[in-house]
Amino acid sequence: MNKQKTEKFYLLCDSGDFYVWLLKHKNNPHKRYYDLSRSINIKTSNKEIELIFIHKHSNFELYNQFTKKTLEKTAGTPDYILYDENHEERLIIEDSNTAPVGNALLQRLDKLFPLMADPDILCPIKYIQYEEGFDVSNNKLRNSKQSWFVKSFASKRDDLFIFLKNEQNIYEKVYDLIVEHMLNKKQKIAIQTSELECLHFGIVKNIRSYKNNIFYGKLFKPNGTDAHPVLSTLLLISEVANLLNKEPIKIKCSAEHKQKFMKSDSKRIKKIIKNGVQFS
Amino acid sequence: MKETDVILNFLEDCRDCLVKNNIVAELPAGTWVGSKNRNNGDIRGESIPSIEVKATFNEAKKDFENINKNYHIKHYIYASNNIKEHEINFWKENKVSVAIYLTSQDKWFIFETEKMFINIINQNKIYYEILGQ
Repeated sequence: MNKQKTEKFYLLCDSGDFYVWLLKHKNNPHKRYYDLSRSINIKTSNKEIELIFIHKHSNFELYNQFTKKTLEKTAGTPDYILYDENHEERLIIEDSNTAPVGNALLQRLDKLFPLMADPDILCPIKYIQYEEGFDVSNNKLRNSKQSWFVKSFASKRDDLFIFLKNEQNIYEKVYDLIVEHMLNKKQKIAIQTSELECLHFGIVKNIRSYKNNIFYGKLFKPNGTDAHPVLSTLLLISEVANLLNKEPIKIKCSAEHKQKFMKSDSKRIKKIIKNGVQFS
Repeated sequence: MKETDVILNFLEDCRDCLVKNNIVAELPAGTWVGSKNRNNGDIRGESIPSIEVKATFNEAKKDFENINKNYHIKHYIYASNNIKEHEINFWKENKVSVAIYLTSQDKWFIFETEKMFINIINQNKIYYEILGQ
């Protein structure tokens, strides 16, 4: 009897939460290796798969070996990157349990949008969050569909953005997507110029700190650390402007912030500078 | 071995109990900068006490001795290449229960003041247990 060859895939994870969920909710046999990676076995009707987990906080060197080329193209670390045996990307996922409040989605796009837009990244990219969530600060139920970003862009790209109903489980969705993309190699659908124009229109209309091609946001907090939400927003604006060959964004800020910005080692800031910015 | 691996090894080795005891784990992740609720351990559940997880004995000892940190935590997990008498004596003197992942054995050494770890870690992953008073 011919033994089916086990196909290997590698899931590079920013945290161990998904693996813990799998241990609790799925019955797949697991194994652990001396290099601190772990694996589960998945049997489908026509394939045997070993999914090897490499956790960033467990073995950073191994994690970095796999992900270096992928992560050079973006400004953050997506939650999951799936590679096949040839170390080719098969799927990239970012998931979020956060309520769809304000700019919660925008602030995560620094990890994903550059990959979505990069023609060298061929694999599908998914951002998953709940459609509805409770905004504790305002005591209100929020819906993702209220977001200008969703209206301008995300709602038209359900291949990129997945909004779950409350009764769905986010890790179950992540698991299903991973299995789907291990069984079938797929390609992402490129973002069209018309979509970018629509997104840019939404940016100009809705981001109050961006007027007449000048960005006014506070780049750093009073304590000197990066203002992540502001920089993520600026990154998105600069990515879109760059893709549309628009003139470089001008940043209005103090001399101190300008100096700090230009000397920064932050991947986010370096990407913004690479997209072309000027100081007003 | 990092804290992540100690947590994951433990959860793998008590997998049968994960659902039964509704065990949850807090893992290091991303750019976590928030402050942790110090009354909750890294691992906790409905019918198990809060367990604090560290990578090494020294980290666990330092954490235990810091009264501003883990006020109610009396259960620790960490990793070591083998069993060391001075470590067990420390936990005995302080009446703290520990499960030590022995990296050389891929099994757990348990010292506990009452049966808990022994009941949740899979029997084939237990190296030895001491039930102390």
